[in-house]
Amino acid sequence: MKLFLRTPPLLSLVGFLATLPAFAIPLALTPVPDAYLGSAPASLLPPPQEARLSEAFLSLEGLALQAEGPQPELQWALRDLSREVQARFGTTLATEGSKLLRVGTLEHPELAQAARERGLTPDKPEGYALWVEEGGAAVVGFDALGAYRGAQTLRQLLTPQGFRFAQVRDWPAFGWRMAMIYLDKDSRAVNDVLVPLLAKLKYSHVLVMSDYVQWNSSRALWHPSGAPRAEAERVVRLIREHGMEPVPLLELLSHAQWLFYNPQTGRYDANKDLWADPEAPNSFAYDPLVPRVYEVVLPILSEVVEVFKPRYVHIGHDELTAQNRFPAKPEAVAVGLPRLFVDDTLRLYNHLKGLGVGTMIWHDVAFSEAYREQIAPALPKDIVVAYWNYSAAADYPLLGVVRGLGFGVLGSSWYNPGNPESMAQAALRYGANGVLQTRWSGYFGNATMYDGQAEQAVAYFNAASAFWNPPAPGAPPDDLAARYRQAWRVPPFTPIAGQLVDLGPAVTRRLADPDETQWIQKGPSTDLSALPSGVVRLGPYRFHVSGAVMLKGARAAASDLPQSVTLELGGVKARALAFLHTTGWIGSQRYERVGSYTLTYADGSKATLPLEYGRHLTSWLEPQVRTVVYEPVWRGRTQDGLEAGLNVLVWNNPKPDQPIQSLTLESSGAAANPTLVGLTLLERLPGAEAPR
Amino acid sequence: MLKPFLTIGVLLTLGLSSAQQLEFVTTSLAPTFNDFFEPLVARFERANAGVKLKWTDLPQNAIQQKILAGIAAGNPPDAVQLNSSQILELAQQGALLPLNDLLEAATFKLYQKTALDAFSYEGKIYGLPDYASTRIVAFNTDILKKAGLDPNNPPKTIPGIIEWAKTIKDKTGIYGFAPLIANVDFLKAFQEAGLPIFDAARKKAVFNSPAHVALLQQYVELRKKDYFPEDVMRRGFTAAYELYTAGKLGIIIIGPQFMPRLEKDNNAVWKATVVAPHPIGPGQVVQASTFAYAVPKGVRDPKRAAALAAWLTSDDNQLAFSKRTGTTFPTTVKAANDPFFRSGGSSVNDLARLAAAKTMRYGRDLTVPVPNASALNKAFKDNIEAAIFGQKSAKAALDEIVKFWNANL
Repeated sequence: MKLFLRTPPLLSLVGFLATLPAFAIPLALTPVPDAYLGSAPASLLPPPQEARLSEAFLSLEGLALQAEGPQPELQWALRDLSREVQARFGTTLATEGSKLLRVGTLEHPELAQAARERGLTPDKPEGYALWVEEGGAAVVGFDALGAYRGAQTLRQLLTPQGFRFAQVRDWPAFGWRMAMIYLDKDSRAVNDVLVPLLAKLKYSHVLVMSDYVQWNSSRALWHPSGAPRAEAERVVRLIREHGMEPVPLLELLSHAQWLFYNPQTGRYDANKDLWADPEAPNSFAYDPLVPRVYEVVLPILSEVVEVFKPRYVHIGHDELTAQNRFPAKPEAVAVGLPRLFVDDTLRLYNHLKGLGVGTMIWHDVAFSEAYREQIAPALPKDIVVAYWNYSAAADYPLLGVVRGLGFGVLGSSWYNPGNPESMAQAALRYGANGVLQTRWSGYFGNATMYDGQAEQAVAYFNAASAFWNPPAPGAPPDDLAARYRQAWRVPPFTPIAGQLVDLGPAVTRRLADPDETQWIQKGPSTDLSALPSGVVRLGPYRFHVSGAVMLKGARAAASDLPQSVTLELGGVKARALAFLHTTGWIGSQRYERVGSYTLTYADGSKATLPLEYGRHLTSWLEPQVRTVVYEPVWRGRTQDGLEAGLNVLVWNNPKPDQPIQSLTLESSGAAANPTLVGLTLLERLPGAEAPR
Repeated sequence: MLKPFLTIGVLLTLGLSSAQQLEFVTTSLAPTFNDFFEPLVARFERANAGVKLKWTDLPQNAIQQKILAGIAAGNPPDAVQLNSSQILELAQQGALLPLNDLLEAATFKLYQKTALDAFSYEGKIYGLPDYASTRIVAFNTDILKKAGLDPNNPPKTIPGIIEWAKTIKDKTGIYGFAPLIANVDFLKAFQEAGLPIFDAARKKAVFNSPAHVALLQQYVELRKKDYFPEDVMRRGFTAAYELYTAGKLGIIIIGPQFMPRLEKDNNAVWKATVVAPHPIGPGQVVQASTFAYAVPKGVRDPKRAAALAAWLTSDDNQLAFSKRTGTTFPTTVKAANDPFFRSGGSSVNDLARLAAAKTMRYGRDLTVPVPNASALNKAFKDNIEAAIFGQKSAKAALDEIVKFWNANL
């Protein structure tokens, strides 16, 4: 009786009918010319130091691109601008036209004069002036790199109407704005997206994790998932041709498992004579007292320098005691950790110095409370120290301690909310050389930047903003995950027609839950009433939102819902289907199959899309995005302030020429129960296919 | 004791060909305890003719991956030793088998109920407890003397320890203590202080009351005044032990099993160390880390695997292991009452075991089992860190966690 009362009669009927095999709920479809429409980002990232924007636009018609100088950076700027226009409009800008978009530096007298007349003269390295106005547009760098940075701002001023009118004078707070990437077997597919993205975000340096590269000097250690040396060479070129400097990271002393990989066994049991702790079940650190360590390590270090031609090499040296005993052997114990650390660091430092290259290390052993007094005074002061702390904090006093001891220091952050922002502000206060956005996605985890750990790459955005302009007020925009996805699949500025499906007749739960009978039955403080309803645009998509087709799940509050629902679509054709969907509860296991969508075509054939938690959909209370498979389109809060979010999954219809008779939603009954909130059918697939 | 052993013997004779092999995995016990496990394996093989028992030891941070990889490849180990949070997390991911239907009800009665509870989730038992280790307090007497504190009269309460820690820092410049509050350990601090995590029906999280806020605020203030090092929040006990070993920490909350290691790592500090039982607060509980054997999903013969887990955790085996370590405690009812754990010599290592034994009856694995543990625990960790590092108030942090937990419980 109680159950009956808690379930409105209409919803019970829907639930009951939908479970009958032959029954499908007929739905109304509304054709629209702009079911999908890409738009320019709502704000400039990183936020410029000085900017005035207006709601007028410079049309692309008759607009020509022109470099005003011989520097390669100017050609790279033109390349990036051309690619942006091509991706958004499918056209290119001419080299001659009635109006000009000029890119140059203060060395060009006419551009310098034009910048002066507008009061925009840049006066700092990497600084630039930019203006877009009726007569044309220009980017004028303090130097060639400044012009390249300015072009990245101009790309973001491109809208469906043309370039937005603007006057910008801008410069970076730090000379070192570094982001970390990896070299592995998936390097090409991933770094070809990430490196241009980092350039767009105005990073100046790229820290390249290089442990498992298949160096000529490390043939006995080649891991099948490591990147070939040729890929390292290619990525180094790619970084430089995007206006950034590569810094290789080769983890030495600690985290040195790569030195122990044995291709014959597939285990980390090579070079056992070099292990710091021979009794440990796994390898982690090498023993600096073993002379052969340097016969193995130094040739690799030399080859790294040969390939990267870097100004600095980062040699790691962190978390030395994190896994095994260090020191472990009696003779090493007698020497002690501080002396072993210093001797190894000096050995590597002197080798690099002989090659004309500087040394960078992590801070946490050399500057720890336990060892600082013994290690730091014994290290050369031109070693650059990367201080890391991955929690957001009001202050990071150790930055000041390292600086006070006479070392150059970088503040290093990760992806926790607020961490890059607070680190950049502290780095500025303590006079640090710069800032570093780390990524710890596994030695062979490049593919997870597409699916699995994308949140770490999303953090490149807010870090870039904080690193360029630390005092910029306000929280980071809530569309960073959408922007990251656009790096993989650029949304066009030309509309895509489609059909909006009104799910109203199939709704099993309303979004608002005033009396604990709707949504997830936790009442008005924890419902989805903040989502706009009716015909709405969410991100680039339009949907007809009428409530939710929520399916059965393991939680008691979802136990009376239908296991499956079939939606009658009346023989419509579509190139793609956009699902605005979520789950009522968080999934217990990533990639667990929680349900499916099945299309039944007019010819009786079927196509099924399995729904995996975290890959194709996620809970509305897990707004952090870990994949670019789906697209974040709405972010809001519940009545009591919890962050909420909805995402869109686009399914490339495998049979676009076949009329679609129906769509069946099915739940596998897990805790994370599939819940469809909107459905739109598209005549074209939005954006280019992303690599996988 | 005998029953699990007999059970496995019966199963083996019924179901195994002579060439078959069983495998169990331990957490970070080799090579230190090779002299225990190698004879254990030999004893098993003698009693089960023709059956090979393979022992693998893995570091704690690799073991979950090993299980998941084994399940994916269709050849997981038969029994795996894990701590409570690992077992609960894997159980929720569907990676472990519930043992209720694989063993007779009488088998479970051999274990202390509180220990067994730490491995139970939604009415199902996912692990058979093996050994437990509770915490003690160790003091560096050299540092205490410099701070003018009397090593013979250590504080008997947590607030007392905090006061000593402040005095040490104020008078010597050396950190006085390094509280274990990283990740979700503050949940344990709440319980030790007698503050509830859930309401009586266990349906709602309630750890945002003024008393909870006040406890967290106390640590916020301590960090703000630099009374404990910042890397305690990211490195937890590892940071605390590193400092104590280097003679740069006055007081450490530590498991007694670390005393023999300290003896080797820095003999001078070990010699200067005195120990005391961990204070028992209003909660009348103290954290006792407990390890148990679980059976992964996908094992060839679940009943045989469960019987192996029961044999590994039998009275005899638990007693022998804890006697060998000298610093851990059995979790079966009978073995835990062995007089060995209430007697000993006068070395710091012996005194550490005796100090732990004094509070063992208050020992509970205070891991909080919740659905969707990884998401809920992350929300907890992020917000506690934000409070400790001054990014939000203690109240705002706890309110935020409680809201998130209650929306997802």
